[in-house]
Amino acid sequence: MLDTVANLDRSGDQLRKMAGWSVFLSVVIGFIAGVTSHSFPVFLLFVALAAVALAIYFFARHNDLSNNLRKFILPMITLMREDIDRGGTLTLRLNLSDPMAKEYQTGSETLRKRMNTEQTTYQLTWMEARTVLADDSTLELTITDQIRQRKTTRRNARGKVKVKLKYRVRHLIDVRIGFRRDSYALAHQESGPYASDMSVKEGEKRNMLRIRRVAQSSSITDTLPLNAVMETLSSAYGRVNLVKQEGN
Amino acid sequence: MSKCAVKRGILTLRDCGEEGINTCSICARPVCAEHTRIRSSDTICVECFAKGEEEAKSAKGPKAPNAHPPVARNEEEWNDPDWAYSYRHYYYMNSSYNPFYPGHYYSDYYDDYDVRSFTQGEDAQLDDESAVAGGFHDS
Repeated sequence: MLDTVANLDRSGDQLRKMAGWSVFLSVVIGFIAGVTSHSFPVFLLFVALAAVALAIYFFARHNDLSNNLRKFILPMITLMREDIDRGGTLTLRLNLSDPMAKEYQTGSETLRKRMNTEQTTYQLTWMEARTVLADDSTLELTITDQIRQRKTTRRNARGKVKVKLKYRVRHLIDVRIGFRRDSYALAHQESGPYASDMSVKEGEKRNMLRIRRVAQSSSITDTLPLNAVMETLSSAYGRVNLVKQEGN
Repeated sequence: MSKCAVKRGILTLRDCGEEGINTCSICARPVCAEHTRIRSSDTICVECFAKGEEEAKSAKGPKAPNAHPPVARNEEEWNDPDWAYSYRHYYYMNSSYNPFYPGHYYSDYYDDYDVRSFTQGEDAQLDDESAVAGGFHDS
């Protein structure tokens, strides 16, 4: 089903792009045709075309889903499927909304030092996955985006107002893995990548490892790199050793 | 014919478990129907196929192989049944991760990946002469 949604989203993106170009071309061609033919109806026809294209553009933009689905979630599921036994279950909770929608706003303030800069912050947990891997380890993966938008308004010498937007996106990757004690032993090393972001809780049946990693970007269109999550998961497996079992 | 020699998994490797019905013309290992691919009339295993694809991409690319993770090259590739194997090869070769393999049938085919086996399992490899190729791996 997610494949279908992803295909629809891809078609929607293409439609939006086409509609955007149609608006631009209709206005330009309409203006040229109107001026050269001295015909108002011809000009009106192109204006009507531009209006239809604009409506399609806004409709597609309103219904657009986050590109996280196509660029991160589906590739990630494809990889996770390899580590889950046939017939295993992957419980997913996704939020494909615009992370900068009003309901995800967590704060807004005018910066003290720069009076013409307004800062707005947003937070959205867009993926929660839970499964049991083929090696019987339990895995919980949560991804949250924290976005900081800084909007600076300046008036130049000619009185023209210019707005500059700057973003900082923090992708919080939270991983919780429960390794069976009879399959994996904790390695006695506190070094390695992300070792400082890792906490270990020893249990009777499982050792639970929690890791939080933060990946940053300065663009809201950048999706979380798959490698960032794979490295986080790998670092958990780097913290354990296989235990030799009877019969092996 | 023996069991399929292809390993499933990324974080940990495990045996496919299906019957091998073909033989890979590159690595000569037995391979099941699911993991068989056809390239220019040759029957090869999905791992050799993915390795070949990944190495061809790396050779074509203008930068170092690790400059472009597979997902960045083409977001649609995940839909390809070989994509996970291609990504796995890329990931093992470009990260410092060494996957676990807790099974019996370790093959030197995976030597490039520095597969981790049992910490106290060296003696087991000497006992297991039935392993497909070489017994346990000493990482």
